[in-house]
Amino acid sequence: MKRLRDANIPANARTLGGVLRHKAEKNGDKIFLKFLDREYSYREIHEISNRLARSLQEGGLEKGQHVAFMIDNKPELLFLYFAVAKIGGVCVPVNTAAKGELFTYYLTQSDSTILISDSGLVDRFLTVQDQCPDIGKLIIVDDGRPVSDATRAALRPEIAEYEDLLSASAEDLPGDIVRSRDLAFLLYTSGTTGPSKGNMEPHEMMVSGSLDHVEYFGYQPDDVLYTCLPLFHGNALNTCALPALIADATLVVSPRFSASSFWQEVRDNGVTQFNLLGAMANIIWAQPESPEDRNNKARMCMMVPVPDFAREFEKRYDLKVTSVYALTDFGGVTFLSPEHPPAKWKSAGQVRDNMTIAILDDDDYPQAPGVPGEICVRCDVPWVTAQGYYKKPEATAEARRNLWFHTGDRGYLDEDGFLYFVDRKKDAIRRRGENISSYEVEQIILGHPAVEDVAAYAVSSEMSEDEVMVSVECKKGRDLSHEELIRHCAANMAYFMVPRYVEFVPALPRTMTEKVEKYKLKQSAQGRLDQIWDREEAGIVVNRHTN
Amino acid sequence: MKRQRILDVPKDARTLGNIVRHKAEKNGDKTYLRFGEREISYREFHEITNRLAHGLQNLGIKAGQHIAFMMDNKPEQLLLYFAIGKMGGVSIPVNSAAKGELFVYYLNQSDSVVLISDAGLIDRFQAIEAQCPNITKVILLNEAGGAADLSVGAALQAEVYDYQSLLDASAEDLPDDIARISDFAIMMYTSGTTGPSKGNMVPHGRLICGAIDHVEIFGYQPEDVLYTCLPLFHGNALNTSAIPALVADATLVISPRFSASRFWDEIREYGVTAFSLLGAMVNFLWAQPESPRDKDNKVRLCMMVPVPDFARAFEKRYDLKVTSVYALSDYGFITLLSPEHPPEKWKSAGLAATGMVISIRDDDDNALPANTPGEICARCDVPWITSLGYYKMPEATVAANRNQWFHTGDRGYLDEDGYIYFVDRKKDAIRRRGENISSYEVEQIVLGHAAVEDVAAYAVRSEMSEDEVMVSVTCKEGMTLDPVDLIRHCAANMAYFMVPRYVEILPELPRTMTEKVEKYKLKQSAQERLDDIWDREAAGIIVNRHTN
Repeated sequence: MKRLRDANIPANARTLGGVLRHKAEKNGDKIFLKFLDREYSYREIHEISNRLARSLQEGGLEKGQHVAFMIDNKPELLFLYFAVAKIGGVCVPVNTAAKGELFTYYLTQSDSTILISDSGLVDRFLTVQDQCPDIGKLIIVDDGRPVSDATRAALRPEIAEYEDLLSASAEDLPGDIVRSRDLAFLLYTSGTTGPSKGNMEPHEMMVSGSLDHVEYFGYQPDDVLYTCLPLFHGNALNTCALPALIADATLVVSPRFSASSFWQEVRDNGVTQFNLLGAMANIIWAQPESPEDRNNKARMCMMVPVPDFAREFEKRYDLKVTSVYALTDFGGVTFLSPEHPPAKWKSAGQVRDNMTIAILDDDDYPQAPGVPGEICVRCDVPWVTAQGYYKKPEATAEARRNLWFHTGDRGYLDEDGFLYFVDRKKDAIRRRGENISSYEVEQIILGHPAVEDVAAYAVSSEMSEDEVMVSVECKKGRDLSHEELIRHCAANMAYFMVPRYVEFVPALPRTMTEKVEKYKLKQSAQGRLDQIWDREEAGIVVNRHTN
Repeated sequence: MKRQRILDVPKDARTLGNIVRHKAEKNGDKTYLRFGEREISYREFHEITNRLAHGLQNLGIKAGQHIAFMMDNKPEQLLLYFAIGKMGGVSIPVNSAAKGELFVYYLNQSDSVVLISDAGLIDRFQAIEAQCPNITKVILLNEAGGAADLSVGAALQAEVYDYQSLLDASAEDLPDDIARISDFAIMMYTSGTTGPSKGNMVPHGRLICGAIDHVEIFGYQPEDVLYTCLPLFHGNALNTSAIPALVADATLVISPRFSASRFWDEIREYGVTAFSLLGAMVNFLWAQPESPRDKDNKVRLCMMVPVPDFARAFEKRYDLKVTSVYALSDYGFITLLSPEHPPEKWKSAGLAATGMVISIRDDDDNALPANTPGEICARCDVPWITSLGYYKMPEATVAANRNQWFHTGDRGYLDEDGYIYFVDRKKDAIRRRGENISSYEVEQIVLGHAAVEDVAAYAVRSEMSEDEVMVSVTCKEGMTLDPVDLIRHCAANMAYFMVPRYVEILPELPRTMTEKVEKYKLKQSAQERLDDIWDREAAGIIVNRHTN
């Protein structure tokens, strides 16, 4: 695939610490990070993370130890990631919505020994500390919500204040502590079923993945990259923060996503690139059109997945849409370049150099071009991909059977090698010999102006065969009839995809990471199917002759 | 790689059960198997394995269950592999030398629920039965044929059955979809020289597709007679002789065991045209006195692993062609050296097998250029023709497969034409004053000395706490060896830095049950009494780059 820039990182700088030092030497006082009204230069970030690293080291942190983070978006989180990485510690970011059992699970499953927490979230740890005896140290980052004296007295681990860690020397640490193959992060993926899995991500994976973002998308030093996604996830970190660093560009971090203030932030900061995930793109798109829409400096927007309205989105906001196919479990796989051929706009692009995609059937035999199957990937170079699931070797080995990484996603390659996502494999619906993509059903229903969000899934009918059911969330103040929804579907999708069961819900059940929990919807619907609106009962016939 | 023959094996015949049916339909009354005086045709082989499969089912044994067997070479062992394959079970061949704790380990680690044993070996199980509560059925085989004397199992807690009675079951075909190409068929334990043995999960596809590749590249023909004297509980006999013979529509000869003195008589008696030999066996044959009858044989191909230094002379002496493979129980066939290989590649293990990609990697998994040694790593583009991993050892499976390459643990290199050369077991490499020394190469050269029977080369720590080369040597019967003479031989034939410093002559080398030399034992023992061992430097023999 064509690279729009050469952002070469020397071999000895291919660690998080190494790349920061390299970039600080290169870019000095240039602003790297903006957050609200705060600004930090490349040099400052390097120095602050040196100070923090030295303090952590003096405090006993050793290479290979696991450090958990419970911190909402703020510069300190990035500083601490780099500091821990500089001494070879492993960062374990925890979703700040986690509490109780789930929080305990993250801390204990990851074997973390230190927790760094926002002051306002320390109470969460207090309630689980007895179940987490290995956490020997708690470092508190002041987020404006002080920790009460009573809480302090009740905390079992040794306590340190973030501010106090800044007094150490800003001198560089030895460059050879950490190697590019060493683990840098344990990133948890929230499965919608089963416990979360911790993905072991080496430094090389993060550096080379970010480097490819910069080179395939052509991020330049004068670019301003913006993220409002949480920095405890891979998207903000690996597709925005680190690419900005490698591109010698500027990064703007926003505390959180807000549809109403989104464009204002983009304009105020002169943002030239941002990312939108899933429903965020729909929410932005649903904003009323405005003459201000084109008043922005954004030249690129990365969307995952690419929505049906992507081409209009490009025109409305005067920018180019890019995309990727990437998994926390493996790494970036394909890139849709801003210079992609127009005909390929719905694809996730082409495979990275040194990787190979195969579309395999259930027995791991390859499918012909254009035929969907499981998306499987191999990488020819080492440490560029996640090294498996922490302490889950069975799951690791299973996902890599026949030495292909099995993504669990269905998709196909066209004759030019562009990848098209079809569905999560376990979400595919099979009805009367037809494979139906729940993703495609959902995309079409989302095209209805009254629909806010939707989940499509299979339920078993009286014939004990899969039937398509959808749970639909309407936009505020909007109303939609079952019949109207079916009419929209019949007009826009193959007859066999048109849902039989329809239910309107106030809100879809979601995981903390905003993934819809289809298994819950399915379970609940299956138990009371005869009470759910049924197209056949309503006498609406949809077949190959409809329309 | 050029194929000497193209087979047409339907995709749905690529399981142990279906390949037998397919070949029985094709070859009927042709003799598939010979053992002593016994002969079994393709049709009989199919019918007997049908009966056995039904017989096992009649005992309540189900698809997916693990069935251990412990027996010495005989047709029944081969029949059982295929019968168990037909009913969807998993065969657990146990080394017939196993006893005590090791036997317990194999039975329990494998989760076996049935044991099929030579009646003469049942004492071994009786001694450990209390530790193997999951074995609820024992099937006894009378080695002499006929009904087994079940009274030898009277003291067992497990239910005891006679192998012979299984043959009363129906000879009808079983459904052909009980086992699939991707299903786990055989567990092959690899005896590590350190650490517990690992059970390699071998799927049907690997067994059949590996054999097809073997036959096509070596060009085994229906008129060929393949011979093996290696134990059928190991991969070599099964995967390079027994299954290839079946796939090739050829005839297989099984010998009870290797005997250097009787070897060529058996070859002549059965009209053998191809055989395979492992490691030291080749040296034993080569060491036999030359005879005018040496060329009096029908053998056209001999597979040797590894290819010894005298391979070219061996070809001339016996009028045959040497082939070779690079293969691991842990993965499968990685390369094959075709009989049609270019003459100058004779020391290599050949080219990548069908679907196999080889990469030589450094300790950080970076790819190395041609002719540079590193760890041999492989990856297969075709599913199910490699092992599925180590049974109940997922950490070891994941570690061996890191970065999506199977790491063999062997060092070697590829030449510019893609031929592979084995250098050493990675953990056996010796590092001395900046030079990497292959213990394998040192051993090959020492073996060239006329008085040497066998040798192990390994590293010991000298007073400078650096690796020094030590060799433990056994002499041929009736011969003696002077360390000084051995050093002279080495200095004349190897780089100066490889010449051993410490030499010890032993009556025999310590070995695992699978005949692998236990270097770690030699090393431990030598390290403790290094002052008492013959030391080239103490003897005042100087070897350096100017020697010769």
